[in-house]
Amino acid sequence: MRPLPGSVGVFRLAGPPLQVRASGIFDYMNGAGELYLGYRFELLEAAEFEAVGQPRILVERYLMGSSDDAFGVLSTDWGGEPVDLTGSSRAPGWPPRALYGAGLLRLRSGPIFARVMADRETAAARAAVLDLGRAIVGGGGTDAPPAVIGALPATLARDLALQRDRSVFFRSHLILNSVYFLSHANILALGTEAAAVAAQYRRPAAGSPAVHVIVIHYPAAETAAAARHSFAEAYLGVGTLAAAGSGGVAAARVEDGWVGLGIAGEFLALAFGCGDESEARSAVAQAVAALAPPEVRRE
Amino acid sequence: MVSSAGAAVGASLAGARAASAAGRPARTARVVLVRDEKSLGDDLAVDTEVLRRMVEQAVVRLTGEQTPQRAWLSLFRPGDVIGLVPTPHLNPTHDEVVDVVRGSLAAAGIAPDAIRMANGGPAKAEACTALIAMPALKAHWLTGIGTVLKCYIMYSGKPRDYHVEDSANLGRIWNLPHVKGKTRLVLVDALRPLCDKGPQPDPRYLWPYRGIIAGIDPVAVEAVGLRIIEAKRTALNGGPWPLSPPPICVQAADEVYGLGTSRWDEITLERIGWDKDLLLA
Repeated sequence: MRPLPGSVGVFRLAGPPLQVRASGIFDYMNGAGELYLGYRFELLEAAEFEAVGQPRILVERYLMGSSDDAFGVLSTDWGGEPVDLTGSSRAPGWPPRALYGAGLLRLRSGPIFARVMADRETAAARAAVLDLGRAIVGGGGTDAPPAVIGALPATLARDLALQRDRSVFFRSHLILNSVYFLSHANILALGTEAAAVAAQYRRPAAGSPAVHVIVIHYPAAETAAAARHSFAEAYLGVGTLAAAGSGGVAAARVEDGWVGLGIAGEFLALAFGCGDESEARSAVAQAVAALAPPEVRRE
Repeated sequence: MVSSAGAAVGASLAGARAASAAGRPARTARVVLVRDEKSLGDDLAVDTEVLRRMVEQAVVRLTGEQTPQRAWLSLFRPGDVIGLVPTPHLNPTHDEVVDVVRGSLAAAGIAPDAIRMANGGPAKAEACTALIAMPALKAHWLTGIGTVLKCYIMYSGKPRDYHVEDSANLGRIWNLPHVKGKTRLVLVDALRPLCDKGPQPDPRYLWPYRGIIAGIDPVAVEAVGLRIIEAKRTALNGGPWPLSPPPICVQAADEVYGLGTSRWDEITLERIGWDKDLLLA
């Protein structure tokens, strides 16, 4: 990573940065480390800036496995004010590259995810936090979001519209559980080789309940098939799959609505909170159609 | 009809050999919440004199004694080696809370060398005959809540094991031989709690609640802290915002490990002081 500036505004770098590798992340941040490991964390560089009469600023730059992983960390919370760190006069587009709130700036730049946080927000601290963000980004270009995010259908049947600020890219079941809890066990066989998205769809009417759609791209069709079986056994009852056949769409009613389950090659799609069986089936069929290549869907 | 997340939670409790909830004896617990608007300044600096009064008021009300000195002495036996167990980092317990407790114990006549910091592995608990759990109130992205029951996670010797499906078993740590029966007081630093994204600090979800929560029953204290967090999340979100994953450790600590009560109707909560934005009905 490029060196941080020695000073920014009235703030001075308080000492050499601390480097933390994957094996040491729990010593640095206890259970919070699982979040970053879930996105193939490789290296953290942490540095502090200080100024008399001002709050401390902590700069953490996480080198993740890829730009998709850096995107994923940011996507776990789209809250905050989108900010442009490139000096462009245009308003930040979607998805944002950087978000600011209450003294905390979170940003992604290539495979780097960064947190720049002031202990409390002052005018000088805010300015310094944003300047440090600009230094981290360094005028670099914007990375495209992961393929599974970009391929999500904007709408599903019956006016269900994608809530883009509720779309999370993930690989780990721990992260899925923080977004939409299914089980403490890894019933979807998730891991660092999977690429998945958890998204919410809603109807325009205020207060309408969300339909939660999860799509997972596994490294192999066999893995997807095994995950389908494991999920159905744990969540729906094995008989549900027997009725659907090895490649069909399955649906079952659970405590909080209908669940749909669809598969096409390496792609698995699930929909939760559907109003009825038809909605559950069509939601997963549409999700698979949008994400799986045509030749896979024909298999 | 298959139950969904509820079944998943229930399965986790069953996996920990849950006793029948119906067979569980009735319990009662007292918890004291003290708040003072002046405990934190606008710059979030702690007023240690105000804090001292809050802590001492909490232990006096909790024990029913007349003075802080008698209150502290009623909690410990002569010759006790008292371990203080604050949250060490990532939204840590305020240093001032630890200092106030040390000072108040000393003022009660407890020798300074009988008081030690007890953060760390099992050996730290083994060296103590009494413990004061002093966690900071916060949500936790892996366990739902990361406060009282998680306070002793390092005493397990295998903390990572308790971050996944075994988070239901956090209560088990409290029954380990080197921990069991030693906790004389649970004192939660609720001066500036964290209601989301814990343990990593996120200032969007930190707020100056300006409180201290005290009790003997760790599960009851956890239940009060959990209510505060849940109510703050609802207030921020403008509607329900459930913790995900759900904090199954609290119910398990009650029904599986018998550490105390998680049931609101079994908890007597005494609220003292500043009541603005109390978040507790």
